[in-house]
Amino acid sequence: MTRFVHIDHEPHRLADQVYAQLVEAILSGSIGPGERLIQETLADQMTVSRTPVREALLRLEREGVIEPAPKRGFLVIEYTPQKMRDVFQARQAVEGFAARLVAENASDEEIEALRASLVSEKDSSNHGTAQRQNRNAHRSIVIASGNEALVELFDSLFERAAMLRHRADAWSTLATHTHEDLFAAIATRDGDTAEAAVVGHVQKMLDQLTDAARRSGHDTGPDET
Amino acid sequence: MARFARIEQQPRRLADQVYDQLLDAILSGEINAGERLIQETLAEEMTVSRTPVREALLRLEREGILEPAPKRGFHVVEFTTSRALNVYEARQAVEGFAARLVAERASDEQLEELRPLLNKVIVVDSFQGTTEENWVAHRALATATQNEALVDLFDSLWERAMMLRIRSDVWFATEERGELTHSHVDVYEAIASRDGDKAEAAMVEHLQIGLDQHMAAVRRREPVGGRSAGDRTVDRAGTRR
Repeated sequence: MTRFVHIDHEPHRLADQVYAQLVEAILSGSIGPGERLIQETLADQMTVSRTPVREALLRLEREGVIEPAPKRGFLVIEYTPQKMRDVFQARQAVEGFAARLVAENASDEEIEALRASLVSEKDSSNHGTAQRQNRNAHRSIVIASGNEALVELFDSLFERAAMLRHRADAWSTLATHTHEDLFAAIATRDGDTAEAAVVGHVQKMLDQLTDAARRSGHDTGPDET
Repeated sequence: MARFARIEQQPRRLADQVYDQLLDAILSGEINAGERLIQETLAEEMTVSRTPVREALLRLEREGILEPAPKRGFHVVEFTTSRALNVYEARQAVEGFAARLVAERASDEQLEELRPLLNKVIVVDSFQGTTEENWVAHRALATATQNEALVDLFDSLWERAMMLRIRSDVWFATEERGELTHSHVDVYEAIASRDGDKAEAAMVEHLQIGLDQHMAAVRRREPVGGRSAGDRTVDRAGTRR
């Protein structure tokens, strides 16, 4: 199996490299639903010891990306409308408040710098590119808040959201959408307006994803939103 | 050294037990600022292997409670005003939105359950007792969202906030603490009005008061003319409505 590359040994943060590879493999679909992730097997494939693999797996578990499999190892979490709703609501909390902070506190230069990330996006039919652009747009708002704790929360939530979207076969739904309206709302300098715009934007994404998941046959329970 | 209890060996989640012990020791002040935490030493104290200790240390690092020490090991992060501001702002994001969700969506029964918890007058006596009661109120609100992702965020931010309070030695220094209990009532009333905007604003305000008290206490302790990285950020927070 050559699904994982061998990892160059650096004493520090080997676990981070394992983590990054696992995330990539899950998002690209090369780790399929129902596939069991076993510490020893992964360690052999990546030619590292079991300790960093275990660290990476436990981190993914804590982030809600994988869950313990019956008996042994881990499985990538299954999509449910409830999980999707939870993660998107948490994104509304983090990104909505970040937008408020930016609108109320950022300098004019900082707001101007946001324009580049939010307004100059190009249409892309390539999922990977669209996904990256989308991530960058959302992340740029949180970064502009100047709050590292919020950026950390955003990163972990965005990953989970992407994972669930993947599991729900709802990738293409959001291929192209813009964030110009978010920029306009933030540029008003009114916190309420900025927060409401971001919360509404994320809500729209959630609704579309939930619909798409339902159409792909993932109606696995009542959607309470 | 008998600072850490021996850990019963259970195959799963040994690392969680190590984590809990370390967190308790940090929050109770048993582990001092500047004290180096070394994997091997801790493993011996707790009579476990190094793997779960390493896991626990890395988790605490990821949660912003520890940082790598020069050369080797970890130490508890130092208090800085900008760190405190970041954590409080993140709490405003998470708990403010939680208050909004509860105001807009919780059942009347849920609100009834929240009422005594948020209206309870908390007497400030000991750090632990007061923190515990305050935690009960804040966490009940987070739980009432019925959103596991938000509860997870709440838990991790709460730990960081408490850790920073201890590190800054301001817990017992605040005289204005009576306002806190009043603000819990304000938060409850805003939620009970079923107005999401009001509920969010009330929680944000409640946490802002806590942050302002914290910062004021820190400033009182700072040498005159001493400037820290936090001066800018305190101004920033002060400009918020």
